[in-house]
Amino acid sequence: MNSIRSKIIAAFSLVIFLFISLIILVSIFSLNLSNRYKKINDNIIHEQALKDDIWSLIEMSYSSFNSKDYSPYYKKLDNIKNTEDKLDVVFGQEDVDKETKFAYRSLKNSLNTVIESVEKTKFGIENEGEIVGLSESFQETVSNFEFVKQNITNLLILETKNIAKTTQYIEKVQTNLTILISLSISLIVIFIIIFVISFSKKITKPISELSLISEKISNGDLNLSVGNNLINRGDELGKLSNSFKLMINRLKEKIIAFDFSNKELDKKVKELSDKNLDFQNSQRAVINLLEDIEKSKERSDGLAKDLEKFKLAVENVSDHVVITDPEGIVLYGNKAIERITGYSLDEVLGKKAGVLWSKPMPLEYYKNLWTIIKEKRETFIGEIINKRKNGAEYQAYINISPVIDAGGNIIFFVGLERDITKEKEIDRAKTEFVSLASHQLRTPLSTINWYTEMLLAGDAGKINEDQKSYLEEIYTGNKRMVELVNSLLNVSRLELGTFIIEPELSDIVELGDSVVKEVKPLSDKRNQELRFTHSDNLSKILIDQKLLRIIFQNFLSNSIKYTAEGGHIKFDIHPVKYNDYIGGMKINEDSLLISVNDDGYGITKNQQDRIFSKLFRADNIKEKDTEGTGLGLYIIKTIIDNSGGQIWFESEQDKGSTFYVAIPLSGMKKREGSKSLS
Amino acid sequence: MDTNKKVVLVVEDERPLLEAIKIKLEKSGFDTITARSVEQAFNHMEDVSNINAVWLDHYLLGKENGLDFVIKCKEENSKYKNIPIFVVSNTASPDKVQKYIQLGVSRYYTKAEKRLEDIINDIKEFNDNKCSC
Repeated sequence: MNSIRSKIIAAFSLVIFLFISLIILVSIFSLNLSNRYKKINDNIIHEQALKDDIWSLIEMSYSSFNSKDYSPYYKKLDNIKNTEDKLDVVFGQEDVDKETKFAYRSLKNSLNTVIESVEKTKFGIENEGEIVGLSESFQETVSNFEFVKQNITNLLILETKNIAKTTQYIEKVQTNLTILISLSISLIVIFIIIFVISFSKKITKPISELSLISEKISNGDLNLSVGNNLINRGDELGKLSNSFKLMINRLKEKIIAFDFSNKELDKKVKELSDKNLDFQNSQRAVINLLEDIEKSKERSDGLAKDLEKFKLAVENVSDHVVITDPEGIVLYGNKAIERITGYSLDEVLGKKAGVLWSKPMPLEYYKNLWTIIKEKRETFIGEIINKRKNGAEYQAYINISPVIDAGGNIIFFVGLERDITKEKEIDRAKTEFVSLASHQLRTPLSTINWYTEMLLAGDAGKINEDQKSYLEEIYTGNKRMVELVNSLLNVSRLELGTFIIEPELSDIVELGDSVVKEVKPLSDKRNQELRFTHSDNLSKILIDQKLLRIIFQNFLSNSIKYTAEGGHIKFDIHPVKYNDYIGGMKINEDSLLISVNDDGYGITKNQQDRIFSKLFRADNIKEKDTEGTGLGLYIIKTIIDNSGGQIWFESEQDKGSTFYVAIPLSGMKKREGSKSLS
Repeated sequence: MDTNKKVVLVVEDERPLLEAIKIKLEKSGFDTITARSVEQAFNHMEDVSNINAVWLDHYLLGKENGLDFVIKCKEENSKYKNIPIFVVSNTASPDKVQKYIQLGVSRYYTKAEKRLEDIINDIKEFNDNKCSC
């Protein structure tokens, strides 16, 4: 594989190899040289040893010869033999030069001669004991030895020359070697340097290219491509570059995807932040809601407390209270039911209201009741006769209202009943009392009236002037009494609240005319001018004729009574509008204005506030001796107040008075009661 | 009894008033029969066949009052149905007046407000004209 790693390994291996080769070479050379040196050294040692041996042998031969102890001499000889053997080997080698070889041969020959001679001697000694001619052989040996000595010395000299030569050679070689080594090392170093430089360049260039690329990438610039030179390398950098290329592509893809998903994310983030806002709003709303709920809870707690109170109140109220469903089935009843109807709550609950106790009324009554409350969805108010459990009938005032929900549907009926039997009895008693009282009071008055009438008519005989005038006084006094009794009865009815107002559509002008006709004789007698004026085309109006008659009568008779003879009375009826200002009074609604004006005695300012009080008569008219009960205006005011009208007056002493009554065009208000006024 | 004179049955519980009415009626040319209760009145009516008019008060002796009298008179097959009845009473309660008028009395007067004379004149007129007012 063409990889960097292998290259580096190869390079290093090469270098190491070179180094090792060098070392080996050098070692070999050194070894060679040292071998040689050693060899030469050894040679010299051997030769030296030989020399020494020979020298000692020579010496020994003398001593031996002399001593006749030949064993050390023979030992030495053996040694020399050994050494010779060794030297044979040394000088037998090919690299020994001829001269040296020749020298050695000479030595050897000489030595051998010696050895032979010695051996001969030895043999002789040993075998024959004494040798004839020993000393001659000895002399021979010694001269042979001298010969040997010379040879050795020659050899040694040669050897020394050889050594010098060799030493020179070695030195030369050593120098060469040193040069060679230095050169080689230099070369190797240079090679390494070159290799390193070029190789590193080969490596660092792509690496820096790649790092530039990655820097660009890291800066976000993806508009780059990895050069083909990088990609097409077969080595690790090529792989890396490929990876880079892939990575860049991938990155590009991813960035595109990332951008896209970033945009999506932005969208989502916006959505989320919107949602968050919504959420915060909802949160706020929820908090508000919670606060509202808290408040509602407080309120409903308060309401529950109030409800408790109301419940308690309703439970214990004296009127009979039922609550029913839209069909009238009783859902709730209070304690009063048992007390009033006699039926217990258990008997009443779950049944239709009233089915137990309402019996005696006609069918139409109940039909009407249901129509009003269920179909018309209005409150039914009326009086009813019911029957208690024990059979006793009693009168009740009933008030039934539908309870309607927001959708307009009836969800409950609430029925109230009040046992008014006692009230009715009391009313009846009151009415009876008033009736009776009026009857009892009027009867003696009638007696006086009629008898006086008969006397005055002469039915009991003729009467003289004095008798007539006295009787007339009695008659007048009696008439006043009758009037007083009538007024008192009316007042009592007013106070007892038992009087009725029954409005009917009436022609008020006709009524006015009729009353005017009635009182005309009175005003004529006093020479007063009485004029009745009214608007044309006054339409009929809802009024209680009886009561209005009383009003007219009272106003007119007051004016006649409290105006001097010859005075003027104006009676007028015309319509007025809401917010009109008449005689100091603001009109409350569109009305018919009735006014009676006179130029009579008037009412003093300090007494005007009491004019409408019961039995009040102003001082200035009391003086004038006129008759009056002091009840008329009180009665009228009560009537007007109860019928929805307005009553007031303007007056100045001795100038006259104007009394006003305004009756709404919508008519007098109906009033239920038991009696009308007379 | 003078058969030419008209007969008026006066039903009134107060004695002095009864007297006064009787005197005045007779002075005006009527014959009178008096009764103080409904029972008495009917007894008299049984006895006297030609009663021309009845002067009737409301409150009377006994349990029954003037209304009961009128009701009895105006019953379906009563022979007294057509006798004119003049109610003269001190009670002026309109319901009573209504009732009397509904039952068909000829007139209703309040005692204290009417002169004896006037009432009697009316009766006279009534008899003369025989109008069913």
